[in-house]
Amino acid sequence: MIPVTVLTGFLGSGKTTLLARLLKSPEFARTAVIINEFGAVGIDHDLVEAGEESFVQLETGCLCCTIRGDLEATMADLVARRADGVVPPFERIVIETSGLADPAPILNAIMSEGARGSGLALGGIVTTVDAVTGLATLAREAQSVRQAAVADRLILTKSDLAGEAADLRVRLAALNPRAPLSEALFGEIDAGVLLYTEYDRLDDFHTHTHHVHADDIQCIAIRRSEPMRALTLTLLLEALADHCGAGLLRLKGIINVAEYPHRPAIIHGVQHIFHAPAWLEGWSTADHDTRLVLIGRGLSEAWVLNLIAAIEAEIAEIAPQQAPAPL
Amino acid sequence: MDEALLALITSSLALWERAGDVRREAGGAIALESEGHEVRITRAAPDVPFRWSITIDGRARVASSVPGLLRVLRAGLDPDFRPSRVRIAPIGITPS
Repeated sequence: MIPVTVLTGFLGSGKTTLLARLLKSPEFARTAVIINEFGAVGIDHDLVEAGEESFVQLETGCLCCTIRGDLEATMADLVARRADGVVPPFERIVIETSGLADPAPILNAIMSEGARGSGLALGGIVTTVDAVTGLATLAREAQSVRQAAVADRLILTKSDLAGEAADLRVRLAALNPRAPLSEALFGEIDAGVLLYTEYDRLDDFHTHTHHVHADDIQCIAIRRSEPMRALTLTLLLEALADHCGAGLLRLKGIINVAEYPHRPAIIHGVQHIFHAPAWLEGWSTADHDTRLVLIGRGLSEAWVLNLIAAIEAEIAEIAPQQAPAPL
Repeated sequence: MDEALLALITSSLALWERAGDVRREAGGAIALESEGHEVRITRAAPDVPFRWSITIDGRARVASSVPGLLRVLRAGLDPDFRPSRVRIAPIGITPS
């Protein structure tokens, strides 16, 4: 699979500067970059100089406002041209979104069946936050809150200009407690922070049920040791789509499916759209617990736990003697 | 099942920001009063192809699963509720 990393962050938060630096690091050799700029005339792509093995493709218009098929088509085209030898054999894709973009439609495009069929998988979401203006931006711009809330990693830019930015750190920790916060000092950052995958973060899930809220965005983390039947997972996702819907900014999880205990299933959802699970070859550690993270508005940890309990009780009632046999 | 469903319906009212009172009746049915609506949830007869019978303000509905029951219940309590048009396919999807 080719990992696709989303680099997002509000206008002026330093995405392009960061990307330009990263593309000069050896870790980012063989990277295809899709830069999305708002407006018909792009500038950012001229600011990013790719190496011999990497290249930049420009998309104009706001990705989240146009049909997500545009992005799907762009990615599929890149993969096809890679196979034909028309473009360098890239090993990853980085999408730099416009600063005004809602990340949800972009994530849906990356996790779509079409993208999966092209051999693409979500690698992670990195969100830049301006240490100088970030606090005010979060207070003023709802889109910047969404960008920070869905991140797998937050990067504080321009921290050399802002000192400690203690209030902003507190705000970000409350908004997205599970995302590690790194600093880009003078635009420099360890390139490795962008190369980890979604699964790495779930694998590193060490907290038990966790629930924090800042403003009206909540992050719920649920861990359970009992394997979950496939039918329970199906019904759970259906109810989440019905009752959390647009408020669910992101759902991600690694599931120990009772029928396939040796093949963890990775699930993703954004708003009411859930994607077919990606099955890993095996567990990478001795920790085989199911771990679910939900980020969004109007969520309730108690409701999710009660929902799982009621679905499991119903399934047990319907088929008490049909305990799932591991396949 | 009954206790789990009672807890789910109680927490669902909170999630949906609907005031109300949920209780279990002697015969096992769940009775609910919420903002002028009266609801009664019972198990369907064993010989019918659904599991739950939900009566909301005298109108009878049915549901075949807990998520279906929640959908019917919320639609009856909240006229603005629009359930997801997406139906999740059963995860018969197997690892490749």
